[in-house]
Amino acid sequence: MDLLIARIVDGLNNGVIYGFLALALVCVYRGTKHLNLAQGEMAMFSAFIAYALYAVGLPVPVAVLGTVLVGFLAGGLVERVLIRPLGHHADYSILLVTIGLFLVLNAGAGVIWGGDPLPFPALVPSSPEDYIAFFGTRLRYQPLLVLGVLIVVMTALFVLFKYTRLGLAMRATASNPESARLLGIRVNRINSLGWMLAAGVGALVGALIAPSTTLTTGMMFNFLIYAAAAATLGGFDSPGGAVLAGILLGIAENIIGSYVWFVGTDLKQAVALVILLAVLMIRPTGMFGTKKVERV
Amino acid sequence: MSLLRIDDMSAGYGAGDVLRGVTLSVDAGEIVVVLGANGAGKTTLMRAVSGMIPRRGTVELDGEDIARSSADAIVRRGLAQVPQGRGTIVDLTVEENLRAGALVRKGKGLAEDLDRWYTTYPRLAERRRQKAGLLSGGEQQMLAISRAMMSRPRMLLCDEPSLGLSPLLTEELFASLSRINGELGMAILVVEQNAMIALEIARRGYLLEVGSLGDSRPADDFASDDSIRAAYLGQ
Repeated sequence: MDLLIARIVDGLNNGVIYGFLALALVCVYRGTKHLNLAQGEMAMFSAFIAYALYAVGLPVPVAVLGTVLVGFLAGGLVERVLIRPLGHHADYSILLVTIGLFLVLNAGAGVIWGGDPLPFPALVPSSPEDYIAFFGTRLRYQPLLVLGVLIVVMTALFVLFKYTRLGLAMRATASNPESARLLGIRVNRINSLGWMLAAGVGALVGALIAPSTTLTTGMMFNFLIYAAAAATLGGFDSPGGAVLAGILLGIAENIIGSYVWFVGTDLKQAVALVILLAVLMIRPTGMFGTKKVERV
Repeated sequence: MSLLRIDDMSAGYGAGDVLRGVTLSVDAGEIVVVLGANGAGKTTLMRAVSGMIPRRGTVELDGEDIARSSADAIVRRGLAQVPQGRGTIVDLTVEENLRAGALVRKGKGLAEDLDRWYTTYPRLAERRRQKAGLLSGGEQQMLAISRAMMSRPRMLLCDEPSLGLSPLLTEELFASLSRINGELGMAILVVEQNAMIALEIARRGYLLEVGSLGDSRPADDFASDDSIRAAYLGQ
């Protein structure tokens, strides 16, 4: 029993990261129906920026907030310069541009900061003795911090989408951009905002997890695959669904990897994809995605 | 002075113009109808006026030039549109659709306005918490009109409100447009294939034929013109 709890907790550590990055993917997708494949690399680059801010002498929390702000602005810039000029219907071109951005950011970070892992200071105590005992397992502060921030961000986004005028404009644009324009909503600005929010959330993820993953140009690559799977599972238009799916995916992956003898660590990634396939066969819009309900 | 003045406006979708040199005006407080068969360019006219497609020529709202304004800016200036096919935002509830209509305007009175349109169309009130995509065609049309009116526009454009509705519902809907015009003094420009019913509530009408607009004539005049009756009224 204790071992099971330990494995759930272990899975949760990764699952929270999948969910967090999935949340960023959803912020872009629900507005524009575009998958930003560079989302993970943007987060990685942001983590390096946080490192640079820390290296010039800023306190860690300030460096983290600073990179979130930089990410926020950079997200808007990317949308304005790379995405918007292609037009809203250029789905494949935009997908390719995000792949290009992926490569540029990855190589760029390598050129600037080098290929060796850099140590990133943690926001919370994380020596081997810092943990909370929990049913015989150890809850460490670092993943708890990530989980806590994720819950705060998710709640803030929920309130923004559901209860504010801006959120209403965002949801209207996501559902029917043409009608939104005819209601006087500045659709371009709304889409820009989606990219800004996504990049800001991504920057937060990058800076928060860097202490545990160490800072490398490849730190986000695996997470992006899982995050895309989580967003698909949860339903690409459902922020809460994406987060929950990410967490469940992390736990399921770890449990299956531990208990199914032929999976082990080697096939863990395949497990995530099998789960993805199984869910989509039953529910094509994901677990929490809205079906298009429409009577004509 | 005309509330909406269009002079020598041309517009299209890239390869050639669909509308050629259209001239039209709507005075404050009047209902004007543009009649035309399928493919005459009615929706193109609406999209050109509302800035959804590029156009050349003069378009003025209350003396202000809006020919180069973007679609969303035109709505913010007070020209609201009921688009063809109703433009229902299907993932939002009925009430959220109405609130989205009021996003462009500042100030108070949101609750009163919601109340007004729920009173005008009680069926929307019954379904206020439902996803708008679940409404019937007639209800969606009511929603589209109410949503446009939630912006407190200076003028309303209606693109073929009768589309896909039963004769009875069409009758009801045009009666409500007539009331909106009468009670609020709202100027309405409506393009419509169903000439008979549109002429009943309009003061003046234009005939749109393959992208060209004729001169305006009083609505009664249209209804009694034999050639028009034959071509557009099915008699």
